[in-house]
Amino acid sequence: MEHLNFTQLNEYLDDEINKDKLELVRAHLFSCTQCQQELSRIKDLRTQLTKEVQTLGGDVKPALGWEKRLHQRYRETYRVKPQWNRSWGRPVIAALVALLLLALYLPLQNRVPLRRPSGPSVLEPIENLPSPHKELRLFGLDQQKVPESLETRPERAVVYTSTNEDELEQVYQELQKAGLQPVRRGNEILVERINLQEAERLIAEITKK
Amino acid sequence: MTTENEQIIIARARQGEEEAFTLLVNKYGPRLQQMVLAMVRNPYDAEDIVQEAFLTALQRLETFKGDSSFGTWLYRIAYNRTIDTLRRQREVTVETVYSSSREEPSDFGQLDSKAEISKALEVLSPEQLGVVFLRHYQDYSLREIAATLNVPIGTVKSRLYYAYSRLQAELSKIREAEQKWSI
Ligand SMILES: [Zn+2]
Repeated sequence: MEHLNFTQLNEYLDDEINKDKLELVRAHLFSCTQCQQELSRIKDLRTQLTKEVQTLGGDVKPALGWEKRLHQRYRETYRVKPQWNRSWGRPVIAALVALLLLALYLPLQNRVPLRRPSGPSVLEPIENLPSPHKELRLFGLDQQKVPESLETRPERAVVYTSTNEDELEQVYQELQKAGLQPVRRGNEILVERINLQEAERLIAEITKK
Repeated sequence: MTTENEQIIIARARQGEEEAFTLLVNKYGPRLQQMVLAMVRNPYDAEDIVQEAFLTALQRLETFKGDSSFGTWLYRIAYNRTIDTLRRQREVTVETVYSSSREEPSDFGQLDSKAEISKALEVLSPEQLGVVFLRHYQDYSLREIAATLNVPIGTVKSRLYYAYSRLQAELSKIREAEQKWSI
């Protein structure tokens, strides 16, 4: 057999020699020092390459902030809003909705008798209230969707309605004892300037008694 | 990240979910950036290439018909951009890109192993250099390189082995010159 050429020696190292030729190649390499030497030169070169090429990038540092700019390009391409908006926005809205639903649900749970007013006459005196309170009253009674204007208002009126005169009177007095200024309007009780959660806590206490 | 998982992540990234894109960047970005940087040796060129690779890989995924991974597609684009950049760099500079890391012989006329390789790599064409990096930096097999470049394995072998023979010849020249210097 002739000496192995450069390609064959490399193929040998890469396991790329055909099976039928492999025995011949091995036999030649075993007996030929010239090919052995050439093979070890190639091996050395490859080892040196693997070792040194790894370190070549080390003396040049990536431009500072390349990842940030890559994300920026991504956002521009896909018209994505900044990440905080996506990761925070949804939970915050969900939490607000949950709070509102809870606020509606708790009074029912505590059997606060929120009832639909019997007619326009009941609504009439409440027209005198400042508008946010009026809104809450309408909302509370009709169980429709929350007016957007209410979401950010800290002070609210809570309406307590019942057809039972004794119950109304009891709630009225309890609210007064709590230092509030309840107002009777027909079969309703209004409390002005109170935090919604605080009112819920109070009503829950009252209805326990 | 399994292959199946990765396909879901890619689909989400293509719908504009930045969290999914972040996962892809974390997986492939740093290594790709380092390899490209080692080849083009200029942080701004490297950044351009990596940006192009990621965005093009996502946007033109349809044209990538293969059952190999997103990484293969990403590296193919990066490889092609790198070759273009190297050609451009060599056009504008008479001194080749590796000249910055070339070291003068020390008192004993010896270059260290890294400087030797760095100097020898200058003789390679961009394509040869690219294959050498995929093999020795990225540690890809011949088949992985063939898949990445979308060429037959024979092409990879001839490109790589030709690069080896040129490197070997160049290293002999360098060592000969060093010996003369040290006498
Ligand atoms: Zn021989």
